[in-house]
Amino acid sequence: MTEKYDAVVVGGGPGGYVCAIRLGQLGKKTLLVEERELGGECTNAGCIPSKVIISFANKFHEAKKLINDGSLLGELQPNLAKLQEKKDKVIQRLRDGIAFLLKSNGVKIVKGHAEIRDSSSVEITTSGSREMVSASNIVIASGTAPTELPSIPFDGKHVISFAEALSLRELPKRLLVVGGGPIGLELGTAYSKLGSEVIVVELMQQLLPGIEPELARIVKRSLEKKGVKIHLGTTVENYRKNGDGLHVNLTSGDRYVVDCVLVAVGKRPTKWLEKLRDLGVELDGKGFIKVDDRMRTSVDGVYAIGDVTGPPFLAHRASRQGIVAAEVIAGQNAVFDNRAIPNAIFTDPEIGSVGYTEAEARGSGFSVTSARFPLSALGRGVLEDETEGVVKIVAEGESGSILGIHIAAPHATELINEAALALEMAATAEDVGYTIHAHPTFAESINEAAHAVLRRAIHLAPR
Amino acid sequence: MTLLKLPDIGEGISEGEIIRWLVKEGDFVKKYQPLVEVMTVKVNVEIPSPYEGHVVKLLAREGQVVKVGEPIAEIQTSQEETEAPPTPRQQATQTVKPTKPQEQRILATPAVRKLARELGVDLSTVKGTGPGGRITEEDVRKAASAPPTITATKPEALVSEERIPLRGLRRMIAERLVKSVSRAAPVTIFEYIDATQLIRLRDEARQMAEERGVKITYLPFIMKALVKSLGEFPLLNATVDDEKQEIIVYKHYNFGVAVDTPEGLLVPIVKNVESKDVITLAVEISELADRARRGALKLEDVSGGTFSITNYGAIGGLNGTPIINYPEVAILGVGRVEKRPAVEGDQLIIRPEITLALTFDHRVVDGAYVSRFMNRLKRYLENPAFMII
Repeated sequence: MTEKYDAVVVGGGPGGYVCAIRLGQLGKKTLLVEERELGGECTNAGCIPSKVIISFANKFHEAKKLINDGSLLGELQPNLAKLQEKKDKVIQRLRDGIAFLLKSNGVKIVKGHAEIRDSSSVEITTSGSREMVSASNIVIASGTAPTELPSIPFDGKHVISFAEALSLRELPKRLLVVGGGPIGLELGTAYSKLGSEVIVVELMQQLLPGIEPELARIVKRSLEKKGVKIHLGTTVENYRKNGDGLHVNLTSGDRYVVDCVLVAVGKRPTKWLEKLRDLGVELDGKGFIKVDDRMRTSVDGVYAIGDVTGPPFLAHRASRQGIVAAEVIAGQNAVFDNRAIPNAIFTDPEIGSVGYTEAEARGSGFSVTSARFPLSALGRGVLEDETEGVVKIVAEGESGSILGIHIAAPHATELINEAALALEMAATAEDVGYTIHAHPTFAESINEAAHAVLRRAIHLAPR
Repeated sequence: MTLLKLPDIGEGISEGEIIRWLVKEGDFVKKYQPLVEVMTVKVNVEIPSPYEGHVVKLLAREGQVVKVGEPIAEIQTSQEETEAPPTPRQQATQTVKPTKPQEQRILATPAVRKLARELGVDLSTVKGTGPGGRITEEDVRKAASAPPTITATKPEALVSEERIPLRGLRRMIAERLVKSVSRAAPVTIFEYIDATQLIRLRDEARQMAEERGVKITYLPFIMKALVKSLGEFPLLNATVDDEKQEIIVYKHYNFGVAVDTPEGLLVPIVKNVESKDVITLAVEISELADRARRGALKLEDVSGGTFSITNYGAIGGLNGTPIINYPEVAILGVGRVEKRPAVEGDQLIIRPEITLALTFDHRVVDGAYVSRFMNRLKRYLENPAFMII
């Protein structure tokens, strides 16, 4: 007899598992199917492990600085094998936590491969058995795969994606990163800090395309200071494997011999999604699933959340979508109507960005007032010797209503959450300006930038 | 670039509807050249350009309601055109002109947006009363309990109806009346007037007036009787200043007179009724009514009223409960003159009567005061000769 569920969630990443927990909270009989590990790409091959490595690289880099200025004695050598052990422990702990939460909320977990047969039946293949379950609702949260470059296809060893780049047990001496987006720059920065020679190649004329250009310039300057070579408007022409490494020719004419090439040029829909088309699920031109603001696909009872719905590929967006889908399934009037999905990029300095960039705001027809506050004018920035950063606020000219906040600063990935709250709450520059920010903190720069929008920043000389 | 904002038109007018742009983008305008015609609660006004320069962009479309102080156009003034562009600085604060029509931005918190969904309220139709125009929970609840707007679309099957947008003067009238009934505490009292002597006087005056080419109605006589009565009951010749919580009592008598025009009701004002004789009043009423019908009223023609009169009797109406011309305190409705049975002593007689209806703001005055006033008015109208005593 086929088991009957209120909802079957396909995929246990930050979209799927959050959706399943919410369904459980709402009293829905829920099954979560995950082919690999709970936590999805985020926990196992993305956000979490990359931050383990970045955090380690930052500490290493700080210690190195102290050695360089003579205040710390000795020699430093990173042990990547040990780091991998620590990383695996972190991942295991988080996976266990997810499993525990799912079970506590009454969600059944199956490790296996799911095939959606029709809008109410899912075939699940586990090791050794095949089972058909019946589902009143299906939530697709199966994620994406890394995009490959035809000029330099993955081989899993020398030409790798971010997943392998997070599992290196030896430091590559020379690393070429293709793609100057968040993933490429985060890992490029980390390996550069650990001692790799890093080259970054970006097709667009700006690193971190889509991010406020000034922030991207700050990151670029900082990378170059660390000795990272950056090629904009460039990609890989071809490459050749040789005894001494990979010989890579760039479209710019530059040639590099490296040990490893990390290709981080984006994510693509998986082949698995194409089968959904036969069920009547509409896909967009790029092969991602089309959904409305209630996460409904074109097929009744079939929902999609997270990366399968196309960019931006962000775990926190997937989680929010998962909650919306669960609440819609439970009959609530939920909508994904968020104004602000923050970006958190773990470069050096970190980038936090939310809402419209100045150019986007202008392009959308707003009358725009913008102002910036540099960390060089901030007490905390000076005392920590972190003056290469800025907070930029984009506001609507007349009302002062905040349209976007863009931060390049230490802890920007934390600071950005205040900015996201400001946008969701429809705050004006005055609201943020009148909110007392604790001293001495980096967050004060948001307060000062808000004052600057109103042309009355305290720690900026009048123009 | 200079933003041209809807100027303060005066008379407490807080917003206006853009009726017609008299210039287009790219036009060169001289200082004081009329730019745009704006309809306000009270009157249409032409807004002159405060600058000389080029119109870069019109920021308000025709039909749009704009608040005083909101930008309506961008002008590159001649002065700006001759100045060099500002050099960018490191900590620059800059204002950039919009290149596309502005996206609608709904200012509401997530909790309010959720409430709106639950109550089925379309936030794009809700006007925010919170700080900076934010939509509050209360705004959403109010919108949810309001009757559906007239522009709402319906399935096409029901075509035996016509949907007319509530715009222009109609919308202004609607808003004004709703404001009146929602702020004042209106009470209407009625009185029969024996019109025998009034008719006699009017008929006699008519001959005199006709010699001067003036047609005379009962209205100027009623006005004169009102001046006398209001003189004794001044709280009814007054307005309320809600903000300061004050009653403003006037020693002059500016009477609004309701005029039916093809576009809707307008209320031009006859000023200083106390210093004008009946024939002068008759002339002025007819001129104002004519201007109202031609849409040629000026702002001063509709400003400064202290009391209003609606003479539906002239069209044959018997009785009504007029709505106060807010922020005035009282309005008199005058019904038609008709013969009715009446009791005089112990006799049943037939006499011409007028039904008067007076609506007053009970916040300002009480019923006893107004009843006494009505008795006084009745006495003057029934015995017009008393007015000169």
